[in-house]
Amino acid sequence: MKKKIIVGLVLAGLIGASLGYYLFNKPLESTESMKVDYKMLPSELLMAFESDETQANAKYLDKVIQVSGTVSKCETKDNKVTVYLDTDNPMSNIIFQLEKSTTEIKEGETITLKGICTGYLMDVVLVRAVLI
Amino acid sequence: MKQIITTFIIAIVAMVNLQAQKYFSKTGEISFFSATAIENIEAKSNSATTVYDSDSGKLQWAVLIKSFEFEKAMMQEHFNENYMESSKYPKAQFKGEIKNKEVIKLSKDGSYTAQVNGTLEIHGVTKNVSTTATFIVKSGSITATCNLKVAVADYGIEIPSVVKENIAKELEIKVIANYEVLDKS
Repeated sequence: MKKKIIVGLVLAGLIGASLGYYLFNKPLESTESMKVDYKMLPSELLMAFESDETQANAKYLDKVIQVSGTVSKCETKDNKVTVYLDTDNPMSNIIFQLEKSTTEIKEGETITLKGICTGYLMDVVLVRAVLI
Repeated sequence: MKQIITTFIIAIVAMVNLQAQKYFSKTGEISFFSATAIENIEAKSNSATTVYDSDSGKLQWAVLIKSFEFEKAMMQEHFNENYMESSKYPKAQFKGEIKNKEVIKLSKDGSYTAQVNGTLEIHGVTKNVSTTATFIVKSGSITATCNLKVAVADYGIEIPSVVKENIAKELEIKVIANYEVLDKS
């Protein structure tokens, strides 16, 4: 009986430790498999941050947002692709940092992306974005 | 007639000069590195925004805390939720100026060392900082780099005692930007 308890405890300990180790080393989950929280147009998203940043932060930070719009610029630097979508405001864009490098995106094209909203500087910035 | 032409040329030169006063980047890179005997932690953001006005010497940087990416999901979660409280303080900012702006000629190839003074706001706490940055201009492309050290405790960031040994007291921060000329159109 005592032996069984010890074996049980050791097993539980091992499972716990490996689960902990697994969770600790878990890489970031891909946005690909994440559910979209909001679907928006570029100007709509920008407007939300321009009119009330605190409220927009509370609503959109860490959320997966899907945006369709026209590509005004697409840059690749050190394998990191940054896509700028046009808005009503010529000074501000919706900026997406893509999760994976791609050569598919062309300026002037209309595309749909989803990414995780990180907030607003001069632009609204979304990271770990994927093409839809 | 000659005078009109001269005035015209001066006006054009002045306009060109005026246009080339502001430089910016929206893909500035900020990374930080914590080195301890137990583990090394590194995170990076590629979406910092910076503007430099060569006329006044004013320099600004801003970065969203949630745009920092870590290798491990759990580190990123702890960084945002426990240490930086990024939902409450979504951005870090630097506002300052280049003291020796006269020697930094961004329209001419070369390597320039800038004396930078200003305030750095992280986690809702603002501190004075002064550091040096390097501007390298090569065939029209402008790259600025800066390395600085930031003490975690200075910015009211609390590290629980359990992981105190895992996180360095001073973080090494590396900043890189490729500046573009801001068109006034």
